[in-house]
Amino acid sequence: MNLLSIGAALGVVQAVFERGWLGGLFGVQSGPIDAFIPVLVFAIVFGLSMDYEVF
Amino acid sequence: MRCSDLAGTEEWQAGRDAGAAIRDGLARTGRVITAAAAVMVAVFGSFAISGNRTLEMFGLAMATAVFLDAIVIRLLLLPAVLAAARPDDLGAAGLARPQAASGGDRWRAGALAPARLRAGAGGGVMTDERTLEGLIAHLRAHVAELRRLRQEGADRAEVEERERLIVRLQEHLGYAVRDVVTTRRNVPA
Repeated sequence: MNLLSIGAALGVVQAVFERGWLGGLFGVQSGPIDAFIPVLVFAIVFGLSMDYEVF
Repeated sequence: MRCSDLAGTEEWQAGRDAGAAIRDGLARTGRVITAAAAVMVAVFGSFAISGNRTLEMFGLAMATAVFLDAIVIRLLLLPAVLAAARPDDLGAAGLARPQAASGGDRWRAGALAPARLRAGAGGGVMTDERTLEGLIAHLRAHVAELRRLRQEGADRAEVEERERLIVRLQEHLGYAVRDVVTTRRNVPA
């Protein structure tokens, strides 16, 4: 379940920052995603979910 | 494991049927988890409009993850998966109810831990009227279920398990009544 939400979130990030979807809304140019973002997000979301037993 | 799972697990261990356990677990934890999720989405969402590209990526990813987890997964997917899994039928698959839960609130403690009730009978308030009402309602529901099972000519083992559960509940109710009576003396009116 965790992997589902993380995967979906990273998919959204890829759509916005690499494909440039809704780029106007966020005011971003399409381009590469920093390599550490998926790692960081996975670690933090997994930690939130396991540690606080909330999300 | 989420709060809603945990609350549902407590209800389940207290002898509720799976559907009611899932529903009440969600209902009891829904407000605080939704509020926490809203706060986190707001904070990470503000990262997402910060103007720093790296920070925007991080904020958007976190806000999306928390939002999806709190809304889609907790409210839609989790109950659906649990309902599809039908833990009522999975007693042998590691989902059996333990005899007593270690944690839980007073309601659950009253329903599950007569030893703790006895130990606490002279001390602090362990049980109150609400506990009694809950236990009685609980007992009534199980008796109705037993009647239904018998009428339908259900499996013998199933009927016997229900009977054992009712006897255990009735014992717990006895302890709870005693607890209310003995602690009332200690509580100034």
